[in-house]
Amino acid sequence: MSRLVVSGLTKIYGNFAAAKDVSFEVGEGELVSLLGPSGCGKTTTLRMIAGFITPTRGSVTIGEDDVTRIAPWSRNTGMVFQNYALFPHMTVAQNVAFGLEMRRIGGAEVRERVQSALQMVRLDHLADRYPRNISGGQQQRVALARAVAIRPRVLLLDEPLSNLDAKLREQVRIEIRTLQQELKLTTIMVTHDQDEALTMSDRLILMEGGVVQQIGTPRELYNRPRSRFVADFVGQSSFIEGEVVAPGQFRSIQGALLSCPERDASGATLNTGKATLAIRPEAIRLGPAAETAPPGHAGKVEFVSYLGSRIDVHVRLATGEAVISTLRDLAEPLSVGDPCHVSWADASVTAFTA
Amino acid sequence: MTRTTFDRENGSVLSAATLAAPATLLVAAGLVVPLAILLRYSLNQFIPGQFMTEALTLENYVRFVADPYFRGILGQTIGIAALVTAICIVIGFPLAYVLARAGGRFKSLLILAIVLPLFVGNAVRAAGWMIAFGTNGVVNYVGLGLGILNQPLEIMYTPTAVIIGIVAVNLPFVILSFQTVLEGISRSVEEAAFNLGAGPLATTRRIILPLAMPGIISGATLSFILTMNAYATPVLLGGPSFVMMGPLVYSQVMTQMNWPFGAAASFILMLATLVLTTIGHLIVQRRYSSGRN
Ligand SMILES: Nc1ncnc2c1ncn2[C@@H]1O[C@H](COP(=O)(O)OP(=O)(O)OP(=O)(O)O)[C@@H](O)[C@H]1O
Ligand SMILES: [Mg+2]
Repeated sequence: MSRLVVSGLTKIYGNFAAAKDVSFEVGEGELVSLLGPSGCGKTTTLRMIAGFITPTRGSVTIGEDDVTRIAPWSRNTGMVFQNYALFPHMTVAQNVAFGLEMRRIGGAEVRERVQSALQMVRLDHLADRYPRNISGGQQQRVALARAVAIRPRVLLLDEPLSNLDAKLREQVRIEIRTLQQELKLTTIMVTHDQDEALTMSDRLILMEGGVVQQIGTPRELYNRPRSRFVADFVGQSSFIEGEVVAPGQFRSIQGALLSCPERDASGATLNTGKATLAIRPEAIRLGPAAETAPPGHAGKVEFVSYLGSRIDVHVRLATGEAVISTLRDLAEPLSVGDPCHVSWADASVTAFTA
Repeated sequence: MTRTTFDRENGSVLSAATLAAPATLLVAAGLVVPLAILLRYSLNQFIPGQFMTEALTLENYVRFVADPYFRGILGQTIGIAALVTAICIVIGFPLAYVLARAGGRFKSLLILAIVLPLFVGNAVRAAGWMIAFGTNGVVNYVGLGLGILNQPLEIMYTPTAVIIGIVAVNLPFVILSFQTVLEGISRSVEEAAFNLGAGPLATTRRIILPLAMPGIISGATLSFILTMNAYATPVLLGGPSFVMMGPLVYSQVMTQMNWPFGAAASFILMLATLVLTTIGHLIVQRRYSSGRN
């Protein structure tokens, strides 16, 4: 396994940049997710690493080798395609053996490595089946075994779970992560599912419009989003727009006076002028309307969504702002139209200037 | 399965066989009846001076098989058909691949270029080749003019002219039947092969060829049958000295007025074509479809 360094990677189609100056590193044995909305350039970036797209600018380095100009068949990356791309005319075992045969490995060793790769994904009993005769989840595991069997220097996963149903997805998530950690595979995973990215990755790369917005651990991205886009894409947030009227003082568009941090998300001093406050839903407390401490705002329940382990309550403040609060459980049943008392700690507020 | 569906929906027994009946009848009337008549003719006797004498004899078949001249023509026809088919596969496959992977306006243009010749009859196209290949034709004019040739090429009335002419006729059919299967092979399957370390050659051999085999078989079969039965191209480009089976049958029936022998020759041609394509299918199937269910 090797370190992967992507530096200044850019792909321009006509006058449209699908990826712009993308730079990041993936350490040995690390799993990093490329996360972002549809069309943000995740697949483009991954395919430039695999060698299927020639970058307009920038370089890809695996270990010590600059592979930017190397053909895909000489890069030694293992890719799991979104649609698995299994060879339909080969059995499961033949699929897994293909990459080993291309490396001119002897028959006995091929059999042994195919066997162990299939055992790893618990599919050794299906070795002689054809891809069309196994389920989608099993196909996904064959694709993974095929990519891992060649002992690639970097493992590339393109939305590996998107074709699985919700229940299976959670199980495979854990399987992939366990396998990746056991084999210490340097891995890049493309996904547009933030839950997937947060649960599986050591670090995340959040992209938008072909540009990297923020790189960090799941915790860093959740707790310290650097831009409004990040705060919005990773987890939920209530956004309140308005302006900073004095250091630490904020007036919303609707006119509510709120306290705000003195620095913005990037750490710069927050000057007076337009700004947006963001508050995570679990930081927002709801209480009975009669409550007065801690100091807060009067509000009215607009919508309650019950999600089993938690309840999301959408509340409209008396001054007009909409906020969302996540509760573990309701002490007293809340229903739409009920008045309530809304409060949050000043420390839980993040401010963005854009 | 089809049957039960029909039963349930219509409440009446409408089997697939019933639905196929009109088409079957049409095929029978249009194909089997003329063939039966032809078979009957081939068993008749030919006495010069008389048209056709009712008989039940195998002498026409015996004459064909016994005469090295006729056997030679059959052999020559089979040889040309095999060669033309091989050339069509070699030229057609890369072209079909480009076509299958092309997109947008380039693709429409390519398809147009491939289909357009089909609008012109074989005979007209062969006449075009005559103009190109003649001693004073375009090929020699350009070749001599540019100094590539120091004496005119004699292409007309050679097997080469016939092969070029028939390849040009068959190529569109071959390319289109290849293209259909190649389009069905997803690009990501190819990329998966690349990713696993297979270069373009290994990918073609191990992945694309086996997956494209059904289309290659049908395209090659089409080309083989078309060549075995070619008429206009061999007549116009091969001239009187280079004879293939199609022109032989024609001259027996129309010039010699020997209908029984012409009929026997066509039956031998048909049989040879059928046997050879069947053998070809079996060989290819054994080689490429082993283990597939
Ligand atoms: N060959 C191409 N020519 C022109 N534009 C392209 C081409 N390939 C991709 N694009 C554009 O580049 C952008 C990034 O595409 P990409 O496939 O990388 O997105 P993505 O992040 O993987 O999105 P998704 O989550 O929908 O898969 C898109 O806007 C897409 O339309
Ligand atoms: Mg994508």
